Amino acid sequence: MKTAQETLDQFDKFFDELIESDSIEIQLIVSAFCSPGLQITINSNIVYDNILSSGVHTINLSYKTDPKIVLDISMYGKSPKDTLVQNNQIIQDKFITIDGLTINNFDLFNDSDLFYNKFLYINNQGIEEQVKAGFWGNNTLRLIFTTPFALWHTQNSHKNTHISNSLHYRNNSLTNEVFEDLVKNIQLLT
Amino acid sequence: MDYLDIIFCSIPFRDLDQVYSAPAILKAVAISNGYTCKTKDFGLDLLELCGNNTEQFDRVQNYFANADNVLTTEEQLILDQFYQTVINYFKTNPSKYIGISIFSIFTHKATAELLNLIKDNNINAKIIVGGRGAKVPINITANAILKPKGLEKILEFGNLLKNRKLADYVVIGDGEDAVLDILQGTSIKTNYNSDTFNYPLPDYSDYEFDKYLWNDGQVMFPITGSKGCVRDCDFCDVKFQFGRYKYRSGSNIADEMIYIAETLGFRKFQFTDSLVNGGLKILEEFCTIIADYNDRNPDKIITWNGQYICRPADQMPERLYPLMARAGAHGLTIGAESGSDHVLDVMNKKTDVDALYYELSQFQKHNITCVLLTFVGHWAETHTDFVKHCRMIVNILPYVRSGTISALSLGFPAAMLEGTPAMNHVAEKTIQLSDFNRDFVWFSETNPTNTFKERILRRIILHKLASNLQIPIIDEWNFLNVVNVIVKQHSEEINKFYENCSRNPRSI
Repeated sequence: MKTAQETLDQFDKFFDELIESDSIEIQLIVSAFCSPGLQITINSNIVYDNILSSGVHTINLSYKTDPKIVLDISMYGKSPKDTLVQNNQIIQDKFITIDGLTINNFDLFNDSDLFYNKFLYINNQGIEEQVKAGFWGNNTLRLIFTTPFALWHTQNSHKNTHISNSLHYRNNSLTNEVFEDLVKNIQLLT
Repeated sequence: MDYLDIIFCSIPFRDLDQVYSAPAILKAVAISNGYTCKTKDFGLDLLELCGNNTEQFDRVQNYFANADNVLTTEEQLILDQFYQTVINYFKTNPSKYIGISIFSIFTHKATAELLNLIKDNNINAKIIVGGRGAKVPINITANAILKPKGLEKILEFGNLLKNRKLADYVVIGDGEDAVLDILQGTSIKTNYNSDTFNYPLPDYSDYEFDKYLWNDGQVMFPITGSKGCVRDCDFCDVKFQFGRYKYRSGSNIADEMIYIAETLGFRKFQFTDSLVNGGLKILEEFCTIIADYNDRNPDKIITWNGQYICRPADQMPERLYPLMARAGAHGLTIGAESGSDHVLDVMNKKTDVDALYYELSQFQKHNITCVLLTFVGHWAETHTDFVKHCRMIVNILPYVRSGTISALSLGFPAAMLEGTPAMNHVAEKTIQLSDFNRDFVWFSETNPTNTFKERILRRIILHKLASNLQIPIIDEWNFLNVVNVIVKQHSEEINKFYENCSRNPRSI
């Protein structure tokens, strides 16, 4: 495609090429307490496995893209002995909190609508639970998505997809009508 | 009836999410020198006549931004009522002088029509015109009204009005001293460029702040920290309009904001500057004072927005971002322009696409929001550059979704504006301008495939791309409508122009 006309004529192909991405870049930020194990798999391939020391950990991963991705983030290694209770209060525990999660630079953690509705949370008995932003048991946080990720994200996130209230007066519903007219009229030009 | 000395007014085309400070600045100068004065924004009257319906306001306003726009009967009625409202105002508030701010080329049509009406209605005030739009040749939008002939087509619009005896004075440059010269009967200079900010604080006493299009009714109070720009981008006429970059000290700006916050209660500010980060020392000084104020007053923090330039990453100290956030920066407007480093380089933008990504990552980290301005079809833009531009739009998508970029402007296709460095190529005869639409219909002999049609098609592709990606885009109707009318009304002339250009290149 060497001209705008050719590009417009084959817009879907142009769009697909633009949005294509060779890899999945994941950044996970977690806080770990009492040395839990953390495993990350992509399409059942282990891409990260570590016993985390207490503190904040930033994990960066890159994975060659597949058409469909199953991302599992799991805590392991917790036993009943790891939770110390005194006077009905937990005084020590092994757990992980998620502080940030991005895929290809898209912030998934601060998009609560997407995080709590598109992820799955599976406990150690394989039963789905309400999504939590961390692990207090040997559970798995799962996201199933297709690639290119930007396209999946556009189709699944509703964050900032419309003109915000603060800019509403700079939007109007007349655009499509004028746009269609322009697309038609441009053919008047040779 | 007592005559006022002077009325300063703004007329459409008006973006009513902004208050123009020029009338208030000039009123303060007049009042402090013992003259009587009023200010008036007639854009608000038009909005009111449209029943405060912003969609209808856009439609009627577009009449001013377009040469050939046809209004419906209802819209025509509103327009007639609008002009009658303006004339009635001048009749009931007689003055010795009327100062009209010609903010841009899109104010040419309203100015020409209004001045004719002032003359027809025997309003005998002396007319002063000034502002950016007075300094450039008549825009096509006003051609049908003034019918310029020969050299009038390239005469400054203000001087054209003066020659036609529709205006008595033309103020080019800063108006503060010029207005005083006129009121005092001193002969005026051809150009006023003031290096000082030592003028009284703007007088906003006539402003109807509550009538503007504010978010949740919260007024954005205008403030000016600098004039001009530290850059000289080839598509931009700020240097031509304002001369060299002039600025106030950071503490001086902060003191004024705190004074207004404490005395008038306005805590949201809008910088009128061409850029708020022209001088980093000033920015740091100003932000430090306001951030400290905000820390001490968490229940009445000051916030501000304004235009911001993207600098190469190594020029912008990282410590400034959290400081800007603490100082209340939000909703900054960044001229990203192009996603091609080649185009940015030719534009003399002195930055690159990676610098934009860096700025955005810092903004995201510190919760500073922004609106990005872009455009396509720069005279040096090739198809490859355009594809890079599209790729940039895809790459910024994470920042759109996170809300760091609240919206994107896809802009007009590139225009050749009077007073911009790009016009040197016209003098050098490597760019030819059409007679019928100098701004938008032009031909680059060094990049001959970048025709008007190609630019519009690129713009159409961008619209589709942004729609597919669900990117909030602003002002799209205005942009599309202006080019659509040009295409509809001038297709034959456009085709003929490019046929001639291809047959008769002037420099090759």
